[in-house]
Amino acid sequence: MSQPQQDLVQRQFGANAERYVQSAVHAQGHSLALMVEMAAPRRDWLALDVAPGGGHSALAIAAHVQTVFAIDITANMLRAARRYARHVGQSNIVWVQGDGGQQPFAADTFDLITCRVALHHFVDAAAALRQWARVLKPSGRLVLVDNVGAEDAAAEAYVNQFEQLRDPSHVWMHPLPRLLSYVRRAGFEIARVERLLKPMKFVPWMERMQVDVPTQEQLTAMLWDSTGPARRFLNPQIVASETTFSLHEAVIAARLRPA
Amino acid sequence: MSINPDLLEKLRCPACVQQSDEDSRLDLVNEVWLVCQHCDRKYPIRDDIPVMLIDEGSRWQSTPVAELPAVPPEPAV
Repeated sequence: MSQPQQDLVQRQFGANAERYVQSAVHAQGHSLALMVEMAAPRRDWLALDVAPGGGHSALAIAAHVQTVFAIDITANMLRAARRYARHVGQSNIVWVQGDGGQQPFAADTFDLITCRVALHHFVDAAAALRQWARVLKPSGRLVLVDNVGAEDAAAEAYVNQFEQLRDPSHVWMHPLPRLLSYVRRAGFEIARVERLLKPMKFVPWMERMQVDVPTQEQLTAMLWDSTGPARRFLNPQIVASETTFSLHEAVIAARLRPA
Repeated sequence: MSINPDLLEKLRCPACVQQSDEDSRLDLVNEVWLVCQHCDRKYPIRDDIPVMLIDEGSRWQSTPVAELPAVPPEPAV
């Protein structure tokens, strides 16, 4: 991750750490349970959770393995996540501040790597995946959860601009086929892929990043002015007086290909 | 520093580990610094959290071990 991108992520998430710990979308999303199921974790495993944010992914895995290393670029986020982990009595997580794309670990260290809803903050997603392959044991498993972009090129760009307006540290949500090709090219074979529709409440989604009023107005306009494939992808609705829209999430389980 | 030494042993200098698992080992100094045996970058452990950022390690690279602060300072905002 480049230094400007590190700074952006630290600024965005450092200021909003507690909101991510408290976020129901992050604490309870369907993909969390699916991530654990697809990881099939074992008691004697050493796991790595990349960019745990509010700590929910690390906590979910920690309940099933010996130890989890949780690495995040943002100190405030790590401290908030650690407070929460202590609050719920989970003590087998080692918190490390670091760049998920420059792993500070020896090769062949982990049985499992998880990363939930974070890869779209990496400037070079393919390079990050290669780093993860390096630190996994030969039989190691990866479970990657991330928002994915529209497969129509114009809609892909539109929805990413929409995300970047809300969160300047958002780099790019790749369409699922491209994401899968990055995973394969990093040395993995795909074991299972699940695609989830993630209904979002528009106002809380903006509030988690504390966007100012002019930006809220721009986001509202972008949401409702979207057309064609972007409109179908975002699918804005008014439900019980509340604006909702859709994000699309993929859960990818992969294993390192035998050397 | 409350991390189990066996787990601490998994950590490497993020700058040097790209070339070698061996020439990127870290020494724990004064319980709050991890010093790369190869490049001499020094990574602080703040509030029990190792800060394994290359820029942070580089910041202390030329500081002799004997002159490292007993409590790693918080980064300038």
